[in-house]
Amino acid sequence: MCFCSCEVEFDFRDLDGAPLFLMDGNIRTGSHDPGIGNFQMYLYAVPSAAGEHEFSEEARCTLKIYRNSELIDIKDFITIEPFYGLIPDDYPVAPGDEILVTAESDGFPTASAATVIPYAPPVLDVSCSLSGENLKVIFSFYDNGETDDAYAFCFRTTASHGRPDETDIGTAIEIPSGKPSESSFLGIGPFDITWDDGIRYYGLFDDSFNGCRKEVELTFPFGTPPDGMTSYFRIEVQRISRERLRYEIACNDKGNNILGFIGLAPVTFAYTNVSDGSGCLSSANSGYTDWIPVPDTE
Amino acid sequence: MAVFPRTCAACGICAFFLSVFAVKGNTCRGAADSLDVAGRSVEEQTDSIAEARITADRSLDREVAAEKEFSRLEEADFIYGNVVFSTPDLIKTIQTLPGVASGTELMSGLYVHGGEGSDNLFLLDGVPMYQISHLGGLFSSFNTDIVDHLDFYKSGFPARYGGRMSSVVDVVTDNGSFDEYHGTFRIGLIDGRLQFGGPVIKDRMSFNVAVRRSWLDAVLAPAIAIANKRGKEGETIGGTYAFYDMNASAAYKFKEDNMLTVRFYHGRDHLELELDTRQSSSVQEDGDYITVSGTDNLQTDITWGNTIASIDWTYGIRDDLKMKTVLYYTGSSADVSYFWHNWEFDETEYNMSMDETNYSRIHDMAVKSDFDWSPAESHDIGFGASYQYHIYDPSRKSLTEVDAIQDEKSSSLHYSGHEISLYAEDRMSFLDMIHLNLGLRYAIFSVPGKTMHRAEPRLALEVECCKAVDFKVSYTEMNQFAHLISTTYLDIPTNCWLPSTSEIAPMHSRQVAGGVYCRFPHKFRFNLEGWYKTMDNLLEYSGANSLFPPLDTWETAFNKGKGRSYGLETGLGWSSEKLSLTAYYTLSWSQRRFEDIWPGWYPHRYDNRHKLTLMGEWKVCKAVEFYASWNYHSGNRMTVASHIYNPGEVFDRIYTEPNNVVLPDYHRLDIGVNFRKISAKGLEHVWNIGIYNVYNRKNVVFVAVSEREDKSLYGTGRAIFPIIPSFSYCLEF
Repeated sequence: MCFCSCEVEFDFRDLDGAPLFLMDGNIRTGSHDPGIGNFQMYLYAVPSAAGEHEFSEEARCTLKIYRNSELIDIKDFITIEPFYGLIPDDYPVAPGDEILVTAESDGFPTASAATVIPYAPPVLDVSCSLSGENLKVIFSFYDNGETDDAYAFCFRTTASHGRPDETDIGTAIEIPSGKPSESSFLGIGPFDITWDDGIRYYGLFDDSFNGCRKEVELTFPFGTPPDGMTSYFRIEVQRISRERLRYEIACNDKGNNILGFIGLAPVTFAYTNVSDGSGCLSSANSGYTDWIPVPDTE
Repeated sequence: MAVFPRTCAACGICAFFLSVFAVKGNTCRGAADSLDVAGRSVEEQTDSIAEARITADRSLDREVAAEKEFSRLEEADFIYGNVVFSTPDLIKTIQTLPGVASGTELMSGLYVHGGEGSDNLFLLDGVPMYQISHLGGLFSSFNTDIVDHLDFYKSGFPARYGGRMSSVVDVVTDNGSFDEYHGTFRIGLIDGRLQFGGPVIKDRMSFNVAVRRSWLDAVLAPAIAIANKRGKEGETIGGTYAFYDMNASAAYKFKEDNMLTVRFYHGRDHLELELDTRQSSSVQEDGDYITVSGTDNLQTDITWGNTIASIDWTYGIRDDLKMKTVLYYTGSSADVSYFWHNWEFDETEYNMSMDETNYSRIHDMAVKSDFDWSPAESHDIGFGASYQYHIYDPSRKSLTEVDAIQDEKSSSLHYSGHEISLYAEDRMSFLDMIHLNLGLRYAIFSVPGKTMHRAEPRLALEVECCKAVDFKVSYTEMNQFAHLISTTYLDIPTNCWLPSTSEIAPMHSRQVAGGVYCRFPHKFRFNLEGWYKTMDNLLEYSGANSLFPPLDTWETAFNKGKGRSYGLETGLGWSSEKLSLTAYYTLSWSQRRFEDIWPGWYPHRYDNRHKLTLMGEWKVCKAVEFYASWNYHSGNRMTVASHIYNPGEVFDRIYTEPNNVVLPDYHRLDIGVNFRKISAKGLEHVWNIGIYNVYNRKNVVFVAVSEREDKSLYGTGRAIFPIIPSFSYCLEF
């Protein structure tokens, strides 16, 4: 009996040779700036893993932004570059508007992605108490049963001598642990996904509480404020388009799914809502709770 | 393997009827005749261990003529055709049939008409079996020594079958002879088997017992000892693997049409792995260098298997009304325990350990009754009911200890489900050339908080155009209330069965199939079939990181989607007394759509466009026979990055569609020879020599993706099963 392993190298025959555009964008509106959508997008021109890796010097890229099928902006980039950097702008938007973004260039398939601006986020009931060095936070809200929703939360704190101004965004808190044995993703507590977008967000789909009240309890280490100052806590809540959470799950999967990379496990890392391209275009409607003074240790 | 040809003493045409695609031969002992319907003159003569001969009354053909889409496989089909490590395998025999994708090489995957491996209903004497394989799928749980035959359905499901949505594998074991004692003893490279059966009371009571056990543990022990002797200093490996199973039955015949049978099956696998490492190093402490040492102990212990117990009663109420009632228990369990302990600094200063256990258990208790009533020559009515009580019981516990600080976590699920099924079907004949099987199955499934009702229409129509050509079309719907939850594509004991709930809808399939079946002169046979199948409420894991499915969040951690499959399959065969040749070809598409994974349809991982099987058997003389089979299919699929970009300091990969590349084609040639000798005392000795993968094709099991300097990607496939010679000896008495 001969029972040994052996290797065989081969080329992948089916890879598309054309380059594509990778969009990673978000439009955010909210109580802080009602009626205005803050658009931020990273745009990359990406060569195929099987094709040419240099782009034509003569190729141009044009980015078009539509609101409810009406062209509202054109951004004409001069030449194709691998990375266009962060493309920011502000556009007037209202909940329910559909924003469509296209990226086109010779030699590239025209990439397009659309997102619908979500309605205002739910009002949160929040309570918190300090126990030793840990802050225990309980917050709850009602989900709209008529829509499939997703939510993103950011937990913020600040210390001051008096109540902070509502425009003070504070410092984001990272929650160090959750229920690692049960979660698909380690250390995210009761959430479905977490991601870092400059600050850390925690996302929840409403699949398990659609139309119901959802209560979330968190306990995490919390530092003591400088002498004479009081710690304050608030939660930023976003009703966010589901594709953002899906995309962040895909990105997480890409960083962890060892068996998926060798074809022995399901993968989600191909997810995109960009047609003929890759990446994600999402939108969010955000709000904040009031600053809550953190009570002294019980 | 010779699935096509069978010799029927009563009528030559039955040889064809018993083939894979022709149904009439199957009617000799069709699935319905497990009821032992009166009036059928069925006689089986086993004149060698490799060949079962069946004679049947030609008039029986009509009775289940509408059941053309099932394949009857018998002893000879799985004894020698697919011998791997000298162990005949029932599932691997089915894998060669058209319309079936085999998945990963040498695993017991059965992906029928685009379905998943867990979508198949495996029945052992009418009782569902959950774990159908040993050793991660390398061997099936069915001991071929005691299997009389199996019926395999991939479309046109009769109404009496339900609970899974892709196929039915109905395995019937042999009760033992009422007249004389028979037995077999078989010894191969990896396992040994013993089967013995015969009368307890002549013509009244019989028994049959079969046991088998692997001896990989005995083979592995010296290999591990040598490895430890030659291995790294301070590193000790340990481990053992063994499986065993046993089938036992006792049948008591009150009258010819009144029989009580008690059956028992028990099978277990046990795997242990151990790795101890000890390392020393110098560290600086208080300005001095001291030598410290540490140890790492890793232990894994996994046990899994099935237990089945049943009592069945077959009774002829009247000449035209027969009944079969089965009372059974079937259970499956998989227990995984994992222990890791790390000491450092001479086992005093740093201590970390992790204990994890994972139990996955399912228990079914059920009763079912099937009736067969023939009120008129043109009607054969089947009806029945079943009640199943399911208990799904997975749990997990982990204890982590770091420097005496303990962190304990546990989670478990407990579901009890009630499943009631009612069915009725009428097998009708018109004008002696049109046969219609019209059936309806109604299933009710209830778990706490949710009760589901599903109706499943079944229709099969056959038109005999002439003696040589039949047409057949069928439409079926099937529902599945049990879901095999897995985070990988591997058949491993960490997977667990869970029921449909208020959040997880039952899986559902619809299938239209049809074909033409021809019998040409000189024993040529040809058939062509097509199918289109849709599947809803499929589950696919969304995430990564763990071999263990998340229990607390399982209802939301799995994406819900749908699938479709369509294709054509054809078979061509010819046989003579000494030579038998068979060819199967399948052209198929299998796709999935999970909106949360990809916004459109994408190929299934086993979307094998082409599948071709060529088989031959040559009986040189009574003492020698050769066989060979060549299996080919287009490569499986996997997800590979299609684009590479540089968002920062490192290159990152973009994936644009799941399962976007096809792996290298799969093919292999197996050959073998049997030498037989019958002693003066009537004992038959059979020596089998086989070679798996004769030309040592490196068929890829899994693939690592790498980048060249120019950033283009290539794959490095790992082939696990090269050329494997094997040998076995069998004694039949």
